[in-house]
Amino acid sequence: MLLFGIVFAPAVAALVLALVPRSWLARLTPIVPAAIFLWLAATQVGASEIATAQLSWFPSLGVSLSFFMDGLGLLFALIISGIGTLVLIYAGGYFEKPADLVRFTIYTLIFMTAMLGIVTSSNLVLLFVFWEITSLTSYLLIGFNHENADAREGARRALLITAGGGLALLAGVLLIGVASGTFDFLTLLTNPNVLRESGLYTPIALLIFAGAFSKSAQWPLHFWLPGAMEAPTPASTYLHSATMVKAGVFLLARISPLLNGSDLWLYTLTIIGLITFVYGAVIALRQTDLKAILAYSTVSWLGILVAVQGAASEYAAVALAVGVLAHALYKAALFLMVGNVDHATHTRLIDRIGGLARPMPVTFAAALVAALSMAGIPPLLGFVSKETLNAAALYDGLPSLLATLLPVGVVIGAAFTVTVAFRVVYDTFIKRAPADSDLHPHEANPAMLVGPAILGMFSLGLPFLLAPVLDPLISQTVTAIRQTPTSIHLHLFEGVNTPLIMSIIAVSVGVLLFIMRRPLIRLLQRMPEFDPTGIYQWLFFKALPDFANALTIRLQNGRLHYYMMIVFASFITLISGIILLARISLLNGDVLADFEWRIAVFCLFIIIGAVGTIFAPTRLSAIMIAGIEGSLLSLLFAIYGAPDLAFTQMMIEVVTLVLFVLAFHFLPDAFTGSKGRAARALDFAIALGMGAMVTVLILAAQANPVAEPISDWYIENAESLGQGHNVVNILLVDFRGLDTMGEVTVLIVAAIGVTALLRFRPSGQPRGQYYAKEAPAPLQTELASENDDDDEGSEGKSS
Amino acid sequence: MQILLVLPLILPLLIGCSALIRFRNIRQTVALICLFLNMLVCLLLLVETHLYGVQVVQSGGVIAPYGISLVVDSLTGVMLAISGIIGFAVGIFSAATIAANHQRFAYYPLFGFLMMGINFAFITGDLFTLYVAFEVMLMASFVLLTVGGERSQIEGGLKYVTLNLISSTIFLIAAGLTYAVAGTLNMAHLAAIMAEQPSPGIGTVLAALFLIAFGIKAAMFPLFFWLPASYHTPPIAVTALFGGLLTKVGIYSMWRVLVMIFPQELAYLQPLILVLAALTMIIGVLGAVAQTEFRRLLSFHIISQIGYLLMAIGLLTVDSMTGAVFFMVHVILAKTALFFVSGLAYELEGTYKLKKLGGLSKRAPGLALLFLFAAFSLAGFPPFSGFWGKLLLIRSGLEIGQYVIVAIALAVSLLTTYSMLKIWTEVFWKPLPKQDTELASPHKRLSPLMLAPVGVLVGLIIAIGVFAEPMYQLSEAAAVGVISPVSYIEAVLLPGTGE
Amino acid sequence: MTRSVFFRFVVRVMLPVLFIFSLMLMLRGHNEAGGGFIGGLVASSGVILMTLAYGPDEVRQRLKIDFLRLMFFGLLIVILAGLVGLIIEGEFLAAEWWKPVLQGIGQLELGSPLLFDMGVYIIVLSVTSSIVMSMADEGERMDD
Repeated sequence: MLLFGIVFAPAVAALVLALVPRSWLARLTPIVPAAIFLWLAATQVGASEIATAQLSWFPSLGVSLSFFMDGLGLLFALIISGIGTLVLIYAGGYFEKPADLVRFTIYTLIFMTAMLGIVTSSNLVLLFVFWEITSLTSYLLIGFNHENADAREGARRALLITAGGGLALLAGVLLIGVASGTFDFLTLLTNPNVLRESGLYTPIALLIFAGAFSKSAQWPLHFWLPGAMEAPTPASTYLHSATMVKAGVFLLARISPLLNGSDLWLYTLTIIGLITFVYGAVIALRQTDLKAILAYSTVSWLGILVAVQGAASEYAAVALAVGVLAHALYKAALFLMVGNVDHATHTRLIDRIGGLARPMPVTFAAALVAALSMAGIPPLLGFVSKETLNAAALYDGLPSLLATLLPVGVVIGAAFTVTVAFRVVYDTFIKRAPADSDLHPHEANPAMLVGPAILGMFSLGLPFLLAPVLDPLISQTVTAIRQTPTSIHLHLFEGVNTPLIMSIIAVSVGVLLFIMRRPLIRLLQRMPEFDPTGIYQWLFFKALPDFANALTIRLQNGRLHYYMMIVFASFITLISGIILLARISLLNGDVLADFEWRIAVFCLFIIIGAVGTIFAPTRLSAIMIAGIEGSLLSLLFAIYGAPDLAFTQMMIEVVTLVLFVLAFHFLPDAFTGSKGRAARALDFAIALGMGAMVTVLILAAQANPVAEPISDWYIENAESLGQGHNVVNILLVDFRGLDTMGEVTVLIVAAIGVTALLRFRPSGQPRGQYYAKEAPAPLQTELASENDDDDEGSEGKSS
Repeated sequence: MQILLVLPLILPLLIGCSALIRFRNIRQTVALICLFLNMLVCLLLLVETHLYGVQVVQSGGVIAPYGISLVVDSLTGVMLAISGIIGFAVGIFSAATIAANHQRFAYYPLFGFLMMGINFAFITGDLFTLYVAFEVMLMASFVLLTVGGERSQIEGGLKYVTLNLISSTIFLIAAGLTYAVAGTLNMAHLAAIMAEQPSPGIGTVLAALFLIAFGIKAAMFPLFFWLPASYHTPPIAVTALFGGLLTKVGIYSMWRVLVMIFPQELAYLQPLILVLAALTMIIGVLGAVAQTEFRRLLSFHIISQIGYLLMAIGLLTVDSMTGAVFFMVHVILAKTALFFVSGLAYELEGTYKLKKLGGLSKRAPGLALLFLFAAFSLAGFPPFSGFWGKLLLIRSGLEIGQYVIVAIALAVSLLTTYSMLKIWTEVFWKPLPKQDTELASPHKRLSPLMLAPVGVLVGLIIAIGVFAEPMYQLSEAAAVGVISPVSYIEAVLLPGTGE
Repeated sequence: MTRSVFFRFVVRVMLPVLFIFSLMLMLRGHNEAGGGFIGGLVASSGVILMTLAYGPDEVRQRLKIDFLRLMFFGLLIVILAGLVGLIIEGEFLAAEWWKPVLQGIGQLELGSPLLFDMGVYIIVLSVTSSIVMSMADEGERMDD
């Protein structure tokens, strides 16, 4: 049950802070992650049992609040809570406005719960819930300074990409449920081959990849991460370097026991990861914004963390575990360093600054340690990490293509990483500031120094505490990833072997590149780059809106006539299609037997009248003919023995006629807006089609009854139950009085409507405008006007 | 408990009769009290059906299938409850936002008549009465649309009423033909008859006719034109009510008539419905992408979400229908809340144009938060109601291997996110454009009465997201009740044995 | 609108006939052809004729009925008719009859269906009349 406390404590703290939005309270919140970190370190590292906790949530769907803390989750949870503590402390010094600090702290604490949730959920749907919440909090944090257009854009880009990946992940998770019948990871592990054998393996794997790659910024979906650098630096440090972007890496590691081993898994992860690794490292070098440099180098490192997982060897698991930790430590320190530099000099452009070592000694020291660790220089943790990585790249189980590609790629990427690391520290702190710069740097306040300092100490100290501290943790992690009990013993120096030689080559090349960096960077900057940002921009902000606009204007064009045509045409197509396909008989003997000549002649008159309305020259004549039609119809009722109906119909015709005549008083006499021959022909065809369809439908219904009508019952029971002789009336007020109640309601509403329309209109509008005695021109305003001030606009494209 | 089933009709009618009261304030108070009572009654009915099964009243004491049965099964219970809640919320919101001169013209009475029509449609067990209910709804909504007499309202109203009258006509034809074929209009009786004598020929034709009639009501592709043509014209409280409930009555009717009465005939139409569902989703969301006006954007989204509900009919499994009921409740809440927010943004800055709006996350942080929750819910993010709705529908598609529609639904969901982000970016994050600063009313503040309805709806969105299981139970009961309506038929046709 | 004297005369003669006929239609509806709906229509045709003959303002003066309000009373009567059954028998809209025998006149048949029909009659009459009069109003103003 303590696990619930660990996961939800930050969210509770966020809630408290939201209710009491005071900056002193925000400054107290680092206590929460610190407590989590200490508790985890004290009780879980080296623990033999995996802690679990479970609560029912959505049992019908198989979703429960179930958490477990295995080695993999533990490693990440330590990073999340540890760096979270430092970032929250840092934020206390970083934000100048109390309101900003409170807002940042609330978002960050919610994020922390979500991130802890991801790494400890054993239910995959639950994991996905937390996954999405991290995307949302990330969105809010990137857009933190939302008055800035770049921040808004960066936030949107990040969310669209990660949410898109999230949708793939959702489908993947649901497919796992379909394939295995459970969402519970621990249950799945009891039969680890269930997905591989299910026939849905390939789609599941691809969907999971899409989710993981988008979150962990793998090429070519990486481009949201540099854009995310608009976030305040503590957020970038925490989310976009140390934790959230590693969620994809985590997911792959988590799901690896269920999916690894196939060629799909091996090649996709290795190749995409490797491309990302090299690409990120190279592109990082040509950036000039310190945060952009770090962002691309983060992309790069995420790439290698994905690439090593392809082979799923023990080396790979070790490299992953150490790599995640080492990167989190040094990259967080470097990001915080950038925050300090930015604070001190109000710029992050590496060309604009220099010589900061003297005014900012503590920051410099921490950055130096971090950069050396990043470059993989002994005796820092980064060196240990690089050794394990090289070992993983040399794993002899790889197919021949990858066996050469991977080590070569690793060395190239590592070399560039070295260059980037050196450049960041040298150009910021040691190189002299440009002559025209007007910097007045000062050391950051203590709150902003605690983080870099502690992180530096970890990078420096951990390699000397391998056996007591790191070995048990890494062993636990590797055990969890590989699902086989493993005991790992890391060494700072293992003697001269291939991994060491690879490291030496990488560092040497890196140093060489560093020395030649100026021409190199210029060369890189001139090189054409494949930048998916352009595709994204084009897709979402050009192609999509353009297409949507064109389509919508075409469909929703504002013309009622066209709308009616579409509706009628759909009707005719669908119904005639079914009648033809199902070969429904239209005539049967009963219908023909009832045929009577006098009725037929009568109907002929009605038809002639109907045609007559089309040719009526004026509204009045048209409505007169329609009135006669109605009267004929009422005669038909009378012939068939329904005097009530006939009488009512007759009266309705009379009243309607009067109403029409009154209404026509306001309209031009003749019909206006004559149309071309083709348009009229189309109208005619559709009208004819509708008429034909209804006729056919009635015939079809007559010819295919399935049950006897219930109407006889009414005649039999009218007297006994309704106590009257007029069945129609009894039906209306008695048996089906409710219908009548509804219909009189309609009448009342109609009366209100007419009165309202005639008496109530916007102030200042002259009455006459409504019924000009000429053709009204409103439809045109609807079609035209891209005009901004026109409130009506067209329907499809609002202006 | 006779009276309980009749009250959802009588209470709104009483609101209608409140037009007789001369004082506006008293009229409004009476209306709000009746709306509140209506909500309570509807919730009570939901509880009762959930505990005791299908509730039936034969109006006038005439035995089924000869009289008109009023039936509350789980589905109707859910629909009544949600429409009761929305009705009361919109009532309060109207009190806060509708201008006095608008109220002069029987605003609340019309509102009452519309609610009567909606409740009537949900509660009736008779096909012709459903038609009557549609008439009440159509006429009341048309008048609500046009009261005010702005030119754009008249134009929109004309398109609205014309296309919906076509729907009514087709519905009437379909009901008449159904009577000619099956000899009854009682839905339970019809369901029993059609189950005994499936008729792939004429039955399918009838199902198709109802599909078109209800498809127009529900704004299905390609029959949706009336909706974007009219929804942005009336006062926002009216739009919120329409956007929340009206199209959903069309979907409800499809469930009740197509799924319950013609399930076997519907099987022939399923591929077609899936195609239409996909197109409805896509066209709707693209229409929204094309919009730069708050209300129009939301209006097009209504169409898109109708696509999801149609998809469930196309899949036609218990799981898909369960998801659909869940999604329906969610989307009604979220959509109404979002329209409310658009109205409040208008209150503050006097425009619906995204380009001219801005800066509201600073100026009205509470409103911003409410919008964010509702919008993310609509886009299907956890931990909000929309997430589960989407998840259940997607899962039901994956279960039976309908991957294409699932992929489309997911892509559309991304575009929903896209357009929600567009609103958020433009209205809340972007600073207020300079040239309009003097146009906006800088000192206007939102009253608690304006925010409370939004707050309650968003609270429900979160509550459903967090406590999804009870909502799922209700949805599943509703879905099962429609797909295998044994208890419905028994309760209506064999009174006394049902309970 | 021009209103001839002769037309007015005819209308004046016909009006009482129409109204009595309409009431008769409503009352006998349960047993013979007729009913509240048709009765209301006939009665409203009377109002229409009056409007055409005298113009809306004069009709309003003479009748002193606000049809817009009257229709809601009609609706209340309809609801009431439904509630009678609900209260007495527990069934909404159930028919309740009361048939007292009056000395010398015969049996009187009173019942909730009759009440219902009355409501319908009033609603149809007032709805049609109010619409016609609003439109006639508007016509008058246009001609001004």
